[in-house]
Amino acid sequence: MKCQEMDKLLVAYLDNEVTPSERTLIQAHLAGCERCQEELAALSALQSRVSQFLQFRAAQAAPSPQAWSRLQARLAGEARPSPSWLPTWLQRLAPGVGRINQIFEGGITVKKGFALAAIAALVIAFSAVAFIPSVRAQVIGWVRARWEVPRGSMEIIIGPQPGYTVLVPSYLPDVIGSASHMVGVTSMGDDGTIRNFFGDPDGQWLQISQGPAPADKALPAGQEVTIGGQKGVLITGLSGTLELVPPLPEDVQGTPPADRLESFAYQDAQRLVWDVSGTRVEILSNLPVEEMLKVAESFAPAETGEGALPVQPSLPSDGKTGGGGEGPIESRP
Amino acid sequence: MDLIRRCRAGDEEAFAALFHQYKNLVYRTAYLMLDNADDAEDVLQEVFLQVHRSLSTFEPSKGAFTTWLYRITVNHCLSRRRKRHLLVISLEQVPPLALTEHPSSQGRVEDEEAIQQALSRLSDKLRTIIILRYYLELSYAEIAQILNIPIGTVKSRLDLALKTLRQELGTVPYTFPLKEVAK
Repeated sequence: MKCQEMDKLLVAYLDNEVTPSERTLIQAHLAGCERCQEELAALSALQSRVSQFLQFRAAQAAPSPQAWSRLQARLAGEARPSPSWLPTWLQRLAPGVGRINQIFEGGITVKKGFALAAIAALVIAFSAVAFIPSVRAQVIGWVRARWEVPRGSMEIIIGPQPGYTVLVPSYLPDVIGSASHMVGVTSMGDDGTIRNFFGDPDGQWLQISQGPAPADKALPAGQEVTIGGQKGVLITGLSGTLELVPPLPEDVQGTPPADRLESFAYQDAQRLVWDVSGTRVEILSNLPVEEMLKVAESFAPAETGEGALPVQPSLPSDGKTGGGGEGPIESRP
Repeated sequence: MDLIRRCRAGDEEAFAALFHQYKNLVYRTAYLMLDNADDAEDVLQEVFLQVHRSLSTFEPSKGAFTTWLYRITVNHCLSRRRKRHLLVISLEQVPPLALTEHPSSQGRVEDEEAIQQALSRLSDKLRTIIILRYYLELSYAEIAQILNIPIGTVKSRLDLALKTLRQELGTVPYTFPLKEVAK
């Protein structure tokens, strides 16, 4: 056996994962080859060093004493029927969520629609002008006290209230809404445009944009479709780059991971545009057209169901408006 | 296996026992894969939620419970690592890992930091296989089953992982007599 062939077998030899015949050949070669002996010794020392490090590091880590009670609570939450006023896609994304109609200590009312949307989407970043750290801290504490929100992935920024009716879909395909692949982004531009990105950039995804319907701006050119009785436009065969990096206020703490995905290229996507209740809605997605139309048909104003389901909390004391949110991604308008 | 049978029959006490029996292994595996205590805590929850939901689909004839459990753990970790690429920001800075002071020397701490950094630079595939082999000490056959790859791929991936680590860490001094390693 030559040294080059030996080289590929040494790790398996050290791991006792070679066949008896390979073992015999390796040992015969080692007996007469000083270079391979040194290589073997070096690999062995490295294995030992890595193994000791992993064992040592793991031994320092232990789950929190509350791990079992947290799990029990989540299991109990799964067993309970979800509140009927929650849209099903929010129920999937925020399991165990209960009624939200909470008055904050600081006089802020965070109503359920907004808080749910924030949690469901995992990110809400209002490109904030009114940015109040104490309010943000309250919102974070409040949200955390009620949901299993991954720590270290929450962001709440207070921003302006959109001046149009915000819509939410009551239907999302399972491939998009599946919790294990779900990634959500909500961001709000200075013009009040809200964008939500859902799904997996490597799989199927969906971006919803909405903003005030411009009275003087017609729908773009494309194939005419009907969505909920309204005229809409479908544009197919699109390709481009979708930006996932949000605008962040200067005083937000924390360092984004260096390897985060800032954008991704897409091909063969479709765009669906229509106006409803004074809101212009656009869906950009690589889902089949039938699925996109089904999502579009399911859009309804966020304020539905029992009690109000508003999209924004308000700050009655000083007239400013507030928002809440958290989490992982965003798309720049 | 009796515990598994009881869990499958809906015995919640048995499920609690199962959780406590495996929580450390799942948590520590996740901690090594994700380098973050909070993420490991979340993965621990997700893994056992899935175990609770899917235990009825576990087929003992197809492999050990631990193999199934490790597969779920690894999948959740890899999914989380992927998602992490998309994380925007952490409002609350995760405190730096508190490496316990070791009596030996400062050199030991530096060595740990060097290994930690080298491991963190590995691709997900290589890092996963290193943890399965050198933390969980699984055989190549078990690793192949967990990752759903041929044993030959396990061999080549481990070989590449170790050699990449060696390159990152520089020359490793000869410390082990051959007779101890050439079993």
